[in-house]
Amino acid sequence: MACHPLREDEAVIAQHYLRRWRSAGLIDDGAAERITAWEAAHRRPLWLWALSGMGALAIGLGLVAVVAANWEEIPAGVKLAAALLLTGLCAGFTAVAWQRDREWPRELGALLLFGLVIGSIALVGQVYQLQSDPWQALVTWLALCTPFLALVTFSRLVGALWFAAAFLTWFSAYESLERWVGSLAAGAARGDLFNLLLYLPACLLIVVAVLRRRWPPAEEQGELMLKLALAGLIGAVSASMVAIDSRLVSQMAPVELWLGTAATLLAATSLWVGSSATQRRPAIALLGVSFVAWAAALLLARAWSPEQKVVFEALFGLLFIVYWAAIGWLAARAGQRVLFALAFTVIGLRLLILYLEAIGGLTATGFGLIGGGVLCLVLTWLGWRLTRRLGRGAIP
Amino acid sequence: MRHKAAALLVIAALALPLAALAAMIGQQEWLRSRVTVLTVAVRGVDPRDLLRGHYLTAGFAWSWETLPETDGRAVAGALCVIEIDARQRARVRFAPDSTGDQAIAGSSCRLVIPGRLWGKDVFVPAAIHSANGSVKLFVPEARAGELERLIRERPGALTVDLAVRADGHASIDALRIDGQVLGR
Repeated sequence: MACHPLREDEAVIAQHYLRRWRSAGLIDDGAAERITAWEAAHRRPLWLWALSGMGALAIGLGLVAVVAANWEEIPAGVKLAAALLLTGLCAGFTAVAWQRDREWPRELGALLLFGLVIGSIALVGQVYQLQSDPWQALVTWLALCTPFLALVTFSRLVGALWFAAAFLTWFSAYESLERWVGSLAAGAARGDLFNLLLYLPACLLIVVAVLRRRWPPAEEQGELMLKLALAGLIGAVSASMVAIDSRLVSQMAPVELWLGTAATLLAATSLWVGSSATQRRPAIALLGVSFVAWAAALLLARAWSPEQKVVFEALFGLLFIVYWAAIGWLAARAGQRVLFALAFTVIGLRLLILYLEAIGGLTATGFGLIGGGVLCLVLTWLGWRLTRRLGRGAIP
Repeated sequence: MRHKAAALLVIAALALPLAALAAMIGQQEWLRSRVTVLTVAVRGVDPRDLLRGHYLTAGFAWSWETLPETDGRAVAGALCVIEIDARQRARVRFAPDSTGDQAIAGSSCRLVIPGRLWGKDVFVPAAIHSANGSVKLFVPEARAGELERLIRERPGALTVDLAVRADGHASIDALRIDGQVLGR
C-alpha cells in the first residue's frame, strides 16, 4: 500500500490519535515512536507553502488593484488584447502541464483558464455594450470551457467548481427555462414550474456524473459529482415539499410530473448502465425513493384545499419524515454514517416543528418547548445508539 | 498515434475559448464597420443602480415626427427612421406590429429598427436588453457623479452612438458628452 506523508494539520491530528490509541493499548510505544519518526522525516512544510501562497495572492491582488484603479484609462483594444494574451498563455501553460503530466499545475491552469474565459466574456460585453441576459454569457462560458475541463481536469475541486458553475447557469436562466418548459404544455395546463426546475437539474447532473465516472482518470471526480448530484436531488425534493407545504408555490403543472418522470428514467438508466451492481443499487434506490416522494408531494399539492389546511400540513410533514426515514434506511444499508446521522437529525427537527405547530397559547407553547426538548434528547440518545450499531455493522 | 490524437484533442479544446473570444471580438468589430451610426440623446431614469455596478440607467430620447398613440402599455413594433441629419440625429416614427408591415413598407424609411414602445415616447430596440424601457450604460467610476448631474441638468448633452445594421439590429457603440466620446 502506498504511503504519503501527512500535512502539518494532519500530523497534529495524527499525534492526537496516536496518544489515544497508545493509552487505549491499541499500539505499543515502539510503534508510536516509529510512526512519529517517519512522519517527522516526511513532513511537508505546509506553513512555508501557506506563506508563499499568501505572497502570490498579495502580488495578484496588488496587480488587480493597480489595473482596477486605472481601468478607464486603459484603451479598450489594450484590455481586449491583454485578455486574449492571458487566455492564450494560460491555455498554453495548461497544455504543457497536461503533456508533462503535472497534476496540480494542470488543474490550476485549467481553473485559471475557466475564470479567465468568463472574465473575458464579461469584458467583451462591457467594451461593446452588449445587452444580453447574464445566462447567455454563462451558457457561452460553459460551452467553451466544458471540452477542456472534461479532457484535462480530474481533481475533485475542479469537478465541484464545474458543477457549481453549471448549477449557477441553470438558475440564472430560470425565467427563460420556465417560459420554454411552459410553452411545451397546453395553455390551460400551465402552472408554477418551481418544483420541476429544482428536480430536473439534479437528474441531469446524475447523468453527467455517471458518464464522468466511466472514464478511469476522472473516476474520483465523477464519484464526487455523483454525490453532489444526489445531494442536490435530496435538497430539491425536500425544498419542493417545504415550498408546497408553506404555500410558496401556488400552482402545479401536470407537465412537471411527466418531465420529472422522463428525467428520473434517464438518470436511472444511466445509473443502471454506467455503474457496477454494488454501485448502482443504493443510488437507484435513492433516486426511486426521491421520485416517489416528489411525485407524491406534487399530487398532494393538486388535491390541496384551504378547508383541510391542517390535514394537508400534517400529511406533508409526514411525507417529509417518511422520505428522510427512507434516506436514513438507505444510508444505514450502505454504511453511510454521516448521512444516516443527518437523516436522523432532520427527522428530529421536523418532528419538533410538527410538535410545536400542533400546540397554541403561551402555557401550551411552554409545555410544547419542554416536550420538544425531551423529544430531541430521546432522539439524540436513539440516534447515538443506532450510529454506534451502524459503525459495528449491526444494521443490515 | 493514439497519444497524438489525444494531444490534438486537448489542444483543440484549450484553443476553443481563445478562438471563440477572438471570433466574438472580430464579429463585433466587423458589425461596427458595417452599420449606420445614429446619435440618440439619453435622459436619466434613475441615476445609478447601486446594486449592479457603475452604469447609468437611462432612456433614449428620440426625435419623433409624431408622438405614438398608445394607452401606456408596452407595444411591440418597429421604429421607422425617416431621415438622418448631418449630425447623425434621426427623425423617427413608430409603427406597432398590429398595423402590419404595410405602414413601414409603404413609407420611405431609411432604416427600420424592431423593438418595443414602453410608454408614449419610450422606444427600446429589440437587441438592447430592457425590462421597463430603461437601458444600462457603463460609465467610468470616477465620472459617475458628474454624469448623474449632467443627465439631470443638461438634457441632451449625453448621447449614445447607436450602431444600426441593415437588418435593424441596433447596439450601443459609444457614449458621448457634447459630442466627445466618453467610453466604448
